[in-house]
Amino acid sequence: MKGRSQVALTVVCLLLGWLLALQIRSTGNFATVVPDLRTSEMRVLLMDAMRQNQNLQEEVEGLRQQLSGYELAATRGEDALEQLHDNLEKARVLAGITAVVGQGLTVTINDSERAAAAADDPALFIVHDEDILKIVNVLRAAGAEAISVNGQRLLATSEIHCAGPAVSVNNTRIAAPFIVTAIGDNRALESALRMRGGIIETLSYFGIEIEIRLHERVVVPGFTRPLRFEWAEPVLGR
Amino acid sequence: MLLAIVGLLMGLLLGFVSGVRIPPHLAPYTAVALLAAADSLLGGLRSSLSGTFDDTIFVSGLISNALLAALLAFVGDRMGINLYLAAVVAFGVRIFQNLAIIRRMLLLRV
Repeated sequence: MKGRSQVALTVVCLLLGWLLALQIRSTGNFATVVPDLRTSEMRVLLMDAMRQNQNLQEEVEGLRQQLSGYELAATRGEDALEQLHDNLEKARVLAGITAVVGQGLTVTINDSERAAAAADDPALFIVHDEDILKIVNVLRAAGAEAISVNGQRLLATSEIHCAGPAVSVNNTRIAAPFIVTAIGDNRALESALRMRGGIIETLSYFGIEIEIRLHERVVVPGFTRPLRFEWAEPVLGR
Repeated sequence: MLLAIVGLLMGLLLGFVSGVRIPPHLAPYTAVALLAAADSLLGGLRSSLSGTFDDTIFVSGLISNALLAALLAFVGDRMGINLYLAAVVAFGVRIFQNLAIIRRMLLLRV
């Protein structure tokens, strides 16, 4: 009889210890996130600096070639027109008024299915303009070259703003599910989104549904509205 | 007694070594299970000190307490009320009561 009670007590002690360790480990996780985040932040900064360096070098190379191209064209008149046409096409792509295609990913973001407990703030379980803004920002930081949200191409003048139950992008109301399409190195983009302590981890905590799909070819539409500057004009004489 | 401490240490080791991690929304369940185990343990200690320990009662008490607590947590989750707090309070009170009784028994014995 004595032996059996010992066994029962031991088993319960084992269970208690196991649960205790699990609970400590899962709460302890939050403490370890910060230093990890710090190192990954530094890594991203370093990668960005290296990439920027490389881009600048490529730009120098490109400008040199362009210069020699102009010099050559100056000797032959008619080629200059063609070069101007090429440049115009490049400028259009850079301005975002033409649709572009390339390797990239789509991120689908939907409201949480989970019902909020009475004590919780229900606003935590739906997608906000800030969440999309953060995702777009992360994508841009990771080198996305063209981004659209629900078919709205993001330009330098685009806003992502709260509009009551919807979100306003390019002065167009859009609602969940939000589909962010980005062109760029899709593995780099994905890992930037999935970074520990990053945007995806934060949003999934509240049950916000996020799905990332990598594509070999994805189309980002062009900006469709008239693009006009009413107030700003270029500074001449520089 | 020694065996129980060894069991506790082994459980801690097992928990830290195994890769199991509790998702945040299941945390109330483990908290309640933890308290059910602690409560049963102190109850068992008390009854073994008073000589009324019965392993069938001990084990069935542990299981039924844990099940009721898990049910409360689940129903509370569905209803949006933190019902598992009821189990936490009930176990908490019992743990303190049992501890007081054990303390008295040990002190009076000496």
